[in-house]
Amino acid sequence: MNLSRRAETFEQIRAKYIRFLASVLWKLTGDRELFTEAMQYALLGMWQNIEKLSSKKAGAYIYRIALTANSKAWRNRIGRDGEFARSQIGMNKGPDEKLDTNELTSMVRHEIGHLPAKQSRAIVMRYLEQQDYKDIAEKLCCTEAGARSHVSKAIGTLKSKLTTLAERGQ
Amino acid sequence: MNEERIEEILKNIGSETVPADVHKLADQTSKDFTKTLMQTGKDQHYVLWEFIMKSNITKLAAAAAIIIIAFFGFNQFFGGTVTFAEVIQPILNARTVIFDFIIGENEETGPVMHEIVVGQRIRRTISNLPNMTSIIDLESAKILALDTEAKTAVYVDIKGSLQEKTRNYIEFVREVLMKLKDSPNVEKIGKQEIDGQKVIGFVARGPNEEVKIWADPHTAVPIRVELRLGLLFVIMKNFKFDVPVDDSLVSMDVPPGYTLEQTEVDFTGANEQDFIESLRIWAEVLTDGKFPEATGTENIMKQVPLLGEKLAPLDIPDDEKKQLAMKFIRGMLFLQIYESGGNWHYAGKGVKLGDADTPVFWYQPKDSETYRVIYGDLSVKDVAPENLPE
Repeated sequence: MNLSRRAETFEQIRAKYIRFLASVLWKLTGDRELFTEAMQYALLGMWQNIEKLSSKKAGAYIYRIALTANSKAWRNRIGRDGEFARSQIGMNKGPDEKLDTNELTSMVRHEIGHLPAKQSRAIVMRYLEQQDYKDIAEKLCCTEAGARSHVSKAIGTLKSKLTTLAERGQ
Repeated sequence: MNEERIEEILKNIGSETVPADVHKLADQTSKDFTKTLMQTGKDQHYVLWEFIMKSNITKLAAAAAIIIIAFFGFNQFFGGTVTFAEVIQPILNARTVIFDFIIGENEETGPVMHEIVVGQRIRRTISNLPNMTSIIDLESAKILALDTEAKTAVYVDIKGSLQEKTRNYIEFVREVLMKLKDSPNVEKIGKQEIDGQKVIGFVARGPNEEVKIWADPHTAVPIRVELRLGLLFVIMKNFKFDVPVDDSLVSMDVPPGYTLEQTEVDFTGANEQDFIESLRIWAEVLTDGKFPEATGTENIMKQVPLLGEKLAPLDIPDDEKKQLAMKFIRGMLFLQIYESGGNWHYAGKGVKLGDADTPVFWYQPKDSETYRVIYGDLSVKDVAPENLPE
């Protein structure tokens, strides 16, 4: 695909998905700076994967791009090792102080980006996009039972990770 | 922590509506991306763009380098103007000084540093690194470099030879100025107009430096200072003296909302080997296998922000790219130490990297009778002054 054709296709894809990306990335970041950074990564991902986004699987692939962009933005925010800075999640607080909802929400947002690919997509589709399992199954190319399983496993993984983080903070 | 709590949080996130300004932000980011796309026309530039946007370490390193460049300049500024007592009074006695600072003679295109000086602290922003703010503590030789976009902070240590050189240099300049104060080497250079304002000028000359000060002829308040130190040329202008400055602007504490990065950024002890590595990087990465047309602070100022762009598409790990950026900066700091007063010469314009027969740079180390000559293959030889290249 030559450059002008590629740019034209990119514009069409960008116009099609910009609202979707804005919605998903905002929910995954909850922070304007992080959002902007994730959006930049997402645009870059779209540009680099125009062919895939022009195919029939585009609807599923855009989730992958959004989630990858989200992970990269979070990684820049908190370091490549994927660990939260202690101060960012209140872990310097006394042992009797519990993590508040905002901190937990921030941790959930971040940990979604660290879930296995299908689990993270499933959780985004189910909770952030409020899709039914039939649609999720279609996008993930699996059965409805499979989609439920991915969501369930994702929640289990999040629970495990957050419990570990909370324990380490005490 | 139970699964219901996590589900509740997920549902809450899912039910959030996207604020209108976030949609605008998305649109703007998207437009910016498309605009850059059209301007560059090459998809690999997007990898560069990504790297520029994301590589905090590169940006911090770049900022730190420029900080140190200006660090020298600023100290010289204080000493260098004590040649016309009436004009320099505000500079010497003001508790706060705010001004713009340009390295090089090209005011139109050269990066502009904006300085807020309170005692031994300086707050600095640089026009071609808009997300970088630096707080410099001259007393402790520390820099707090802030990335205002990523909300990250890092402390940079400039102790060691850099600090020593700087302090010695101030003493040197002051000595010179004390000698110049009543000497015939200070002369009036008449009146002229600068930016529509009538000014009166004075020039003070020493063996390796020249300071021109342009001031208001009625109030004696400095309008513009031009400083030449060896090959380094600096312009300072837009002065404001004794304006109130909030202490927080020059605080060395990490500001609220910023994350302190634990990365050690150490630019102390830059040596010849660092400089050689810089030349290698400059030739290999920035100028396609040839040494640059010129080196020196003015050129470095222009090249540093481009370094991230050039490194980005290289098929090497990000950490390696960052190391290359740091090496480049360290080497350039070595040059800056000599630039402000040492004996050195650059002759690498057009020379190909690997050319073992052509000298590209030579300098005289302190207390050495011979020069160190660096060749195009980056080998180094000791050469007597009489045998230096012409």
